[in-house]
Amino acid sequence: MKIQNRRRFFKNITLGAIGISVLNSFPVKLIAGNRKGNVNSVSKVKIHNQAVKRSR
Amino acid sequence: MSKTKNDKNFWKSLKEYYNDPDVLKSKSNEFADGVTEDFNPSELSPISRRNFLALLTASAAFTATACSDYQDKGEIIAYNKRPEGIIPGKPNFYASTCTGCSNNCGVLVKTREGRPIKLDGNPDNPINKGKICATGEASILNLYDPDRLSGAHKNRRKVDWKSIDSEIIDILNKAVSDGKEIALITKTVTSPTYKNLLTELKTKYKTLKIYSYEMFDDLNKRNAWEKSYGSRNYPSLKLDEANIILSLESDFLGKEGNYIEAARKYAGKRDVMQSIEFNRLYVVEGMMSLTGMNADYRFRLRPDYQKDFVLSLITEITNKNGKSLYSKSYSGKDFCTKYGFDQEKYSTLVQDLLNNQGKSIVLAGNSLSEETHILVNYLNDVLENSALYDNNSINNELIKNSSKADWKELESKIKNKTVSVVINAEANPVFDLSASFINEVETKISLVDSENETSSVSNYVLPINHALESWGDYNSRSNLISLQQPVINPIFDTRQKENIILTWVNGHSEAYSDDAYHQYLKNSFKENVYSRLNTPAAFDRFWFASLHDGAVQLNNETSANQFNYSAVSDIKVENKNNSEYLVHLQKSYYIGDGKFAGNGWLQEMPHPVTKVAWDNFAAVSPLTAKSLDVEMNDLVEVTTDGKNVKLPVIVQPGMADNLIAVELGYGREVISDSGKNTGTNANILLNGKGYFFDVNVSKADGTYKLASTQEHHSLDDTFVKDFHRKRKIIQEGTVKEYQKDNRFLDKYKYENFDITKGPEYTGLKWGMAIDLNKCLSCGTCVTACNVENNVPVVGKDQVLTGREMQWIRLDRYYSGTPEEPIVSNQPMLCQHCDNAPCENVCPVNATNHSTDGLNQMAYNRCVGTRYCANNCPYKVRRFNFYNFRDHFANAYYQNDVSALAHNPEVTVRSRGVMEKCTFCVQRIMEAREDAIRENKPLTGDMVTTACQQACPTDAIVFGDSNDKNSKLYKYRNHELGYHVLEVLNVRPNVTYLAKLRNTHSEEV
Repeated sequence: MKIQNRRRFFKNITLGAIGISVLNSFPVKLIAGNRKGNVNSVSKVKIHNQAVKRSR
Repeated sequence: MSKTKNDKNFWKSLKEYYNDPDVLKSKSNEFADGVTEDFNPSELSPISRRNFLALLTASAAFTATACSDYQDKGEIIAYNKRPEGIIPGKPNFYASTCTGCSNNCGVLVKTREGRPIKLDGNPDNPINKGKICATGEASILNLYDPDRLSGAHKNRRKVDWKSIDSEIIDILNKAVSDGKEIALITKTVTSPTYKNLLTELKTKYKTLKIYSYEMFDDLNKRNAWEKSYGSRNYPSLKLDEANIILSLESDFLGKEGNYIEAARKYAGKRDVMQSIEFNRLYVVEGMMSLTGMNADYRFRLRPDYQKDFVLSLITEITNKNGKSLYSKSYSGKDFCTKYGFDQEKYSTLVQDLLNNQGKSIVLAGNSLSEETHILVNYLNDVLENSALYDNNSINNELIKNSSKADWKELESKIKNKTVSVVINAEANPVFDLSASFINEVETKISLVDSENETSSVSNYVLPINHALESWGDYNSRSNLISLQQPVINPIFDTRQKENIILTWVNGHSEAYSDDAYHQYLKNSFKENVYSRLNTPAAFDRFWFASLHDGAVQLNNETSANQFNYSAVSDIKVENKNNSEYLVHLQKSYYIGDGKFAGNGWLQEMPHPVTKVAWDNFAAVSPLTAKSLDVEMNDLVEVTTDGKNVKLPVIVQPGMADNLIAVELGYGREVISDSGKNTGTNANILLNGKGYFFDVNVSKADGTYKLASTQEHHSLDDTFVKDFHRKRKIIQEGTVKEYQKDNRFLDKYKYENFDITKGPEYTGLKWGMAIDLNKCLSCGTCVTACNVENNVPVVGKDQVLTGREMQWIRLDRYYSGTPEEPIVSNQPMLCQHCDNAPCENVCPVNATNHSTDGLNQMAYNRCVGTRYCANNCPYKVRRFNFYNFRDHFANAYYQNDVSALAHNPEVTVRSRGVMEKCTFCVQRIMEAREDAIRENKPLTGDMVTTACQQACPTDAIVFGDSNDKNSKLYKYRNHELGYHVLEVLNVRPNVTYLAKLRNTHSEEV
């Protein structure tokens, strides 16, 4: 592929990448990504071992 | 080289033959003359097609990288070190207690891999006997609410627990030393251990005062019981022994008292399989309620006239049975004339009550005045109905709820600055009681699980555990202690409310331990319960056994007191002047007092009467709508005491005239996204005059679209009037008609025949039967199905376009006149037709029929043509127009925590896929696996569907229709059994038992 204007080409690529990163960082789902930041701190379910189970 | 035959020179025109230079030029030009007038070919991009495609592909690759939602979802690895007691793929069950309301029903929590996924009733609890309400079923979603608070906050900034505890303890000590009051606001206290804890807190901080409230409390009833019988604790009722039940504004089947217990007892006497001696339900009410929909006889009467009604009944009855101790008289005839009552129906009621003395009961709704309650107590006494009072099971009052005078006093104390601290313990007085005066207090501490109106104005916010993460005990009935145990460790950074208070009682923040309240509860149980029971078992063994069972029965028989006749002597006839309009503020069926306003499943549950979801409304009768010149979706302005509220109108047949019924708990502003913009806050109308009072009403400008899941057919439109009867969708009769001829439905039966021989089901064939005599249309089955089958919440905008996703719907049909309608209810779900019209039309064969009679759905085959939904005559198929988890409320339920609520046995459907009731095929598969493992045949009684398990009246029966000994077989072949739209020859596998109304005539 022949690039007519190398400066313009790289400028466009860079601006596009910055634009997509900015949009992705929004809390609203515009392009992709999860909305809730709070819940990412939940790593796993912690089992409570003091409760008494029903026998089957 | 000489030209051969194949070397001919071909030319298309003479010009070409003679090598015209124009022709040569046109060959080299891409475009003929005249074509390039609008553009200049030399200015076109010099990029070639090859280069263009290369650039396009590169851009697409960039976009794909940006748009892909690739997140590392983790790996599934088998347990290396399996936690004790957990078998992957097998659920565990724990007994606990529901804290959705003050009934505190016992629950069985189903957990998978350490997390709770479903709540069902605890069969060992003698009060609710294995059933809970729709709110209890859906409360699991609150545990996994992504908007739950996490971490202690001071003035909106996160602080550590230890320092906040120290600070609060210092503040409380300072308040005591300054002589300022510490107001602790809580909801009704039904836990004896929590009550003891509060007493200890009061002892530690001497200026502490407790204010408890319940939005829709039974204060009037308790005050009346105290005046009538000398005790504030009233007994529960033996409704299963009542032949006649008269409900005065008491929605005892829908939302008052322990309606789960009441529903079971009421429906127990409406079981055709047991006996045809049905009970008879009379309902006298203003707004159509769930109880009213199921009444055999219904009278419309505004709640402010109820007192006169009871007086007239007392007069008529005591005149006839000669037990008159009440000096005032108000004849039934005068009453009927003044209020437009049907004299004949009134006389029928009086006669029925007299014929069933000692076997009838009169119930007064909690919103009625204290005097009305006293009169009803007297009426029951005169009718000897105290035989139906169950003195073994008394409704306890551990702490008396604060009166209106107490709240007024608190407000003035706050204004005078004699209250320096307000502690809000899991309550929301700023919204519930419009207590904005709390804002003026210097220090406000809130112990809440999610942000609410009160915590948003508080300086200190301490997030608390959900009920499923907490220890507790409940004693709402005198003969039972119901225990609560945590089934999961706290998901967020929260602490149990009682544990926080215990730290304050101990006086220093180092005293906190996660297990402190557990030990406190255990010690309290040992002192107050174990020691009184004189059981030979060691305490630890008894404690674990109690936690296993979930409830401990106590022998607590109280002797019945005599009625205090002086209580009635001062009560005068009301003879109220007909005010123009009366507003009746009522409790919501599903979201309680607003506590569950953020729960998507409950908001989406259609109101049992009006079928409106996501909003509250002003319900008016057709005549009142005409006089106000409003129609559905118009706005009315309701004004009282200088406060006004605009509400959308719904025209409700069967309502009393000049009455506006409004549900509270809506219009919350500080709530998660799932509950925002739902309804109007009508709490501001509360003025201390009770729940119904005179107002001014006028039409307001504008409209507001209400999302109703059921078409409001005009009752006068000849085309649709009674179409459900004409098409035999609803078949009904009366008890007398049935007693005369038990095959009276046969004349409507339709004999279908096939010219081809269809498949024969000789083995197990799943079928369902729904007894419409017992079905109250309470909606618990719908919510249970939602929880079991991961049904998504769609939101109001989608409900408006008819895209609600609930697999069962409760159809409600009216017949009769708009003033006195007769209501027929029918749960409608996939009928699993043997000759299903949906199966034949699927172009990819995604839906087919199994060998055991199920209409199956293969989600991954479905391409979403929706032809099956088009063909379904029952309209029970639901299409995923969106990935609703992503679509609803800004992807509110699309996160890691909400996903924990899903039932792992059921596929979570994505966009473009059709779904419908599967007869809980995951439960059938589980039972089949168990049967294979235990080497025994699978039988119909080994499977219980979610709706069947949840139904409080056991109206739903499921099983093997080929098993002649099964309960289902009896239902399917019962003389009252019929299929809906039988004429279409779709051969449904759901049988409905026709409803029999217990009226005095043979006609409905």
